Amino acid sequence: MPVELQGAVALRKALKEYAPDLAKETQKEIAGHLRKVVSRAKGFVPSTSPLSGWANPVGEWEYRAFNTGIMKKGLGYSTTPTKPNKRGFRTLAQIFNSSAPGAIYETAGRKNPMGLPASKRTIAYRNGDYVPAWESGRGVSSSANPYAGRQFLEALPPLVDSQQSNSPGRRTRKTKGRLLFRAWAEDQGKTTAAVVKAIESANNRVVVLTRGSVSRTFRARSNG
Amino acid sequence: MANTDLAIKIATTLDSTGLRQANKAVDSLGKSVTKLGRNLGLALGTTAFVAYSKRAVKAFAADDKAAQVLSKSLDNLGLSFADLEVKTFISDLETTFGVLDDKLRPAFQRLLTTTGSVQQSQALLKTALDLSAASGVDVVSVAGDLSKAFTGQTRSLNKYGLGLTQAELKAMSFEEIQAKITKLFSGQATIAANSYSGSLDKISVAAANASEIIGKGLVDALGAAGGTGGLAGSLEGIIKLAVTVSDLFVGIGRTVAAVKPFFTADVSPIEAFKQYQKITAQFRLDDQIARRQYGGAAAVKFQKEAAAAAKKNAIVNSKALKDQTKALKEQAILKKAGTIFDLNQIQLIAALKGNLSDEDRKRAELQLALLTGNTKEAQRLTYELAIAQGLSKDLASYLASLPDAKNPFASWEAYLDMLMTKAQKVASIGGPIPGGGAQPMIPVTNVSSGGPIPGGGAQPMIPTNVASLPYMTNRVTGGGPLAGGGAQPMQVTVQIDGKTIATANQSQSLSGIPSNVSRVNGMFAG
Repeated sequence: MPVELQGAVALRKALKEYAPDLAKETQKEIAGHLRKVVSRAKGFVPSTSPLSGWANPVGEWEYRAFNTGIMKKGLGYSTTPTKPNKRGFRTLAQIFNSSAPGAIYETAGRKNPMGLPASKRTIAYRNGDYVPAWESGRGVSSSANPYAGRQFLEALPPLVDSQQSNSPGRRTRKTKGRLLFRAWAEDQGKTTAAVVKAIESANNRVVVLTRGSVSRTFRARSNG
Repeated sequence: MANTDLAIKIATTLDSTGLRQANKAVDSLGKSVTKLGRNLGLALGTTAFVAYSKRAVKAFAADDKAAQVLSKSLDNLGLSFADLEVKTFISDLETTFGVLDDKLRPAFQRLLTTTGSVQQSQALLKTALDLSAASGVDVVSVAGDLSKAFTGQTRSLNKYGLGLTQAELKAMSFEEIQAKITKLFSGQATIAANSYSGSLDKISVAAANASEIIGKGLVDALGAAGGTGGLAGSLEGIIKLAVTVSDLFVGIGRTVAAVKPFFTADVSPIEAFKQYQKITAQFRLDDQIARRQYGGAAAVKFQKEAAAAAKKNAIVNSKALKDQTKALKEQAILKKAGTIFDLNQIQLIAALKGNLSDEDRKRAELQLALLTGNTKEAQRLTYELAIAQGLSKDLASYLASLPDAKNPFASWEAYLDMLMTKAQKVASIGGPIPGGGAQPMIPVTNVSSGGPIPGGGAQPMIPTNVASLPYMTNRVTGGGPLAGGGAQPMQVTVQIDGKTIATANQSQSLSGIPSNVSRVNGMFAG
């Protein structure tokens, strides 16, 4: 899904060396484009909890409870290149959703569109004896309400796929969401183009500034 | 930025620098781990044990050899009484300074050989250790340099930076140089030995000594295992053990091959038994053949026969070799003797001893090389001579092109011959004429015959074709010495043809030459 820019590291070094102001300007320009997407995503955060119970910060749900402020605060962008991942790729620009309630709202129903299955009775081996027990773990719902998951999802807006049918790359459940991904889907690639254009422009300008001594230009290609 | 996976990455780039570094590091780590594993595995394995044993035995052998060499050197110098003292001294130095005795012994030996004194060598070895610790040069090299300096060769001491010029070093005595070195570098070895590096060296020395001790133990153990036979018995036992193990493996293999038919599906038990018998019979046959060479009582006999045959062959070969060598020697002697009396060679050698031009010398050398059969030398000289000849040819062709110079005396020979003939004729005329019975000599002239020549019993000489000549007549008759002892005087009558004379005078007058005739004396003047 992201666009791969070849030679961007060299460009970044050249910018820092020959035109530090231009580097800052470029980052600001990219940030301006990203900010629009994030703002749109923040607009998708509801003002009240879809289900009243989620808004109660009780027990282990203290930090996961619905909170509009936290959710909006967790939505952001970054134009600072990250450290290389295990495959050597660095992200130059990204938008993210970092809060726990925001993540729940963003992704709920991706894996289980009808909610987690209800826990069933089973037999467990405890203290040297087999005893009746209930299934437990992350794969089952531990709620007394067997329809709790489905009811929760029904209260949320539907998931929106950021990848269109004609978009490069795979369309998986990980490209779906209700905040960032919805905003990104509605953006329809305009931000990506703007970011690439900004970097390309910076490259051209640094080549001119250095009178061709920096001849390596980056090339953008879709990293599907 | 927040550390989350819930993000949309808009632009990425590949930065493989870290990956390359990581790969390199991983590779390096992998190699190190592999090496470590191998080392650990080998250290605990049999291979490592065997290798260590080998090293230990080798170290012990080297150490023992060095010790014996040093002892022998002491003995040769008449200092064998100091052997124990020297051993203790080297052992103490090794422990104190962490320098292996493998280095100390050669160094000490070198000093001892030069100085001939144990005490002086000990003092110099300590100095060498100080100098070695200060300069980083091997103690054996330092000892060698000190030995040279002891004998006056001080050049090698320059590299230690003593602060002395070569002239100063040469001017100083060795004691003065030693005092200077001691002053500059005293205590360096002790300091080095007490440092961490020195401690490690001491550990290395201890490990090396341990190896030597273990090596000695292994050699002793092998000797003890051999019983009364000692080490030789042990070696024999090892060979026997190897043979037994080898036989065991062969037996197992053969058993598997022999019983295989019993476990084959399509083969009946009777057929399998037949195959078993056939296979075992083949093995027995193989054994019989092999025993002749490799084992059993037959092998002993075979080996004895083979050894005897080999001995016989060796004797025959040795004798043949001796004969051949003798024949070759004789041939060489004869050839040498022949060369002594070879006149050609003698002449050539004599010629070469004289003053020759370069080209002639080459010719002579080439002839000598051809005579002696020295093909290589002959080839070289031929080539050089060919070059020289090429130059002579040019010179000869130049001389040939010059004009011919006539010999001015070439006609002298014929002229002299003619004179000699005339002289002989004159001599024959003027000689004594024998009297009494001798025939008169008649000159061959165109003078006509005249009167008879008086002489006792002699016939008158009558010139032919000569007219009567009064001048001649007068001369002869005037008392010529023709009359010999006892011989009659010879009278010559010359008749002149007056007409002929008149014609001659006329011709002469006509030619412008006047002629006078003395009528009184009857003589011509012209």
